Amino acid sequence: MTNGSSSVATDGLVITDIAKRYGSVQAVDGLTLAVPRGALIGFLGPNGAGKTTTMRAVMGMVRLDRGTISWDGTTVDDGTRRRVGYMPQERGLYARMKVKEQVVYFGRLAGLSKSEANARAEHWLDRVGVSDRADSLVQELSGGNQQRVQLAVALVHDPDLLILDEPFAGLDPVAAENMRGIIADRAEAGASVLFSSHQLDLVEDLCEQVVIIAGGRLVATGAISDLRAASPTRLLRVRWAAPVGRWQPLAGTMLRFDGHSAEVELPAGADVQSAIANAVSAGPVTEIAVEPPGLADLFADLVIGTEAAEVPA
Amino acid sequence: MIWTIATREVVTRGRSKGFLAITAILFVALIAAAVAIRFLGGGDDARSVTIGITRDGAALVGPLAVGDEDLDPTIVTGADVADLENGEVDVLFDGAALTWDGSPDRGLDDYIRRVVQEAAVTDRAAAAGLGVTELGALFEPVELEEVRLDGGAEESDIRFAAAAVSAIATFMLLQVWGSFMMMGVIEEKSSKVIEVLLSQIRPATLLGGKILGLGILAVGQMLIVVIGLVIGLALVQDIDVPSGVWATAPLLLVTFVLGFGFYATAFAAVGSMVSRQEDATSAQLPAMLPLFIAYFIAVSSLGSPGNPAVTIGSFIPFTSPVLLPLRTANGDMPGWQVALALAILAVSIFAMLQLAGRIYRYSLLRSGARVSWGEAWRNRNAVDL
Repeated sequence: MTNGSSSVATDGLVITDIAKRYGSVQAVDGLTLAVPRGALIGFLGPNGAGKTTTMRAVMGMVRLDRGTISWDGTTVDDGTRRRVGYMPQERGLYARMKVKEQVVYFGRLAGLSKSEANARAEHWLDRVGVSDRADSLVQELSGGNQQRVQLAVALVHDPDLLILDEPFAGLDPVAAENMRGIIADRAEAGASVLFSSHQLDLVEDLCEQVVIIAGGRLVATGAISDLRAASPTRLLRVRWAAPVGRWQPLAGTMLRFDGHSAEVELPAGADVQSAIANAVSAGPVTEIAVEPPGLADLFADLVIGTEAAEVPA
Repeated sequence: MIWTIATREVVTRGRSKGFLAITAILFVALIAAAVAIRFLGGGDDARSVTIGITRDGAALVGPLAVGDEDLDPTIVTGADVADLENGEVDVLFDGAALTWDGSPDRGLDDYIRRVVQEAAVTDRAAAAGLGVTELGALFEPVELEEVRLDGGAEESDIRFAAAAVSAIATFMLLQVWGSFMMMGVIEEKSSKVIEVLLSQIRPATLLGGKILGLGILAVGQMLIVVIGLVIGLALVQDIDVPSGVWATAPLLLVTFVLGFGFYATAFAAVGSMVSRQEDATSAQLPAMLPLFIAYFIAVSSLGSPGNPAVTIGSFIPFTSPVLLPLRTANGDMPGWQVALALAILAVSIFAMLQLAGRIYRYSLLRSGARVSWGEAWRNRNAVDL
């Protein structure tokens, strides 16, 4: 029955209708999502939405109440998990172990031979940019460098599936750029990558696809450009040649106003023509644009919408 | 896989300063203790003394110069009071009196009196017509065999010491290595490295590898300590350890290995229930308590072999790792009882692995507050083992 739909392409990670309740909290509630091979998908949701539970479930660390998780068409098991690279939300490394020794150790646990693990560890430490600290204890490294080591640990066995819980949290722009490049490379090489993040600008830059969840349920999924285009709201951005003093938009919510420029969120069905006319009437305009909302605004709209809808339930 | 984990435990723990320091201290301390006993007990080095003899005492120069195991005398003949006063000699002997400058040296005083007495006995025997041979026969020592009702024969004291050392050492080692085990589990949990570990391996593999690795280190440390003990005893040749005591050493090792398997698992389980090192002390109580009970039974029964608490406790897995060595070193445990007690302990390890494994795999991914026993046991959200 579950294997009946054989005609459907099942490559990559497929999560089907999973649910998990902890006591009175329904952490995940019938969530379905897919990360095909080569896809790089941002996993978004407010705190407590069920992202970490979902990621842990893929790693076999959550006993699900229902649902299935498969990889390339077969249910995920211990053998499959050897092919997964995992970066937990709270970093996890042995503080009093040397950097390279630690990466080699995790390579060995993933089934690599000693020499293989050594070579892969050297490669990845170089790639994440901490090869000069290979013989330092992990606890001697800065938080950002520890995070680079954590990524090396997740990548040491060249996994086909990367599950990264908040990989960018706490990284400086240079380190974030380095990590972004590595993650994108892995996806290009055919791995499935699912990563969660609260840094929506980074997500927008890095990936084309997102999955947004709230309250343990799927809220939206698809290409960011499609989601933005499909949004009924619009963003009006205007810049005047000279300060305009006070200005009140005809409709919508003022997001930002500093006298010289303004950003207004226009609600669904708003009259765009009169909104533009209203802005122009305030003074000579040098720039004006009406565009779909950015990911951050889209996210806020989607999530707030679902949370409001959840209240009576 | 399990070996990869065990190897990491051996390498990182074995390289730690704490482990190396404790092992070195134990090794050196045992040798030092034996050497100290030897020097305090006198050893073979006899003390040098100088005996001044006047012309009147000249007949005894020969016998007095012989010395014994405690004293190595130098004789100054033709001495007088002036030599005594300026410290040339320790004592002045004139055949009838011993003259001291200050209070007498008791050891030297006894020695001279004994030599003089022996010389007098020989002279009087000759006067009575007895030759040296007859005299020797007259003073031939009478050998009395020593029999003890407790069956220990002459080994009893050594056996008592061996029993006490075995029980106390096992107690201490189990406590120390149990704590190491717990600290290791808490370290993995508090540093969150456990999440990365469990993404690749199962909790049972992790637990097994840790027990194996620490077990190898613990036995290694024990062997080093035993080698120290043997070297120490070899330096002090006067203490003869009966072969019966050495025969219990392999049994002690087997008991320790099984006891370690049992207690390390228990300590791992209680360690998995807390997330911070600060909570370790209170968390370890349930595992530490039975060990302390065993220790108190052992210590309080040292003076009274055959104590029923020891007999019963040597079969209960929580106390047998400590009480079994006590009874075997004492030599009052029949072979079938040893076999039965070891079998019970071995089977209990499997029971403990089930029980502790259940708690361990539930508690590992729970962070924050301490996991309650009820939660850990009900085990609803456990990781698959």
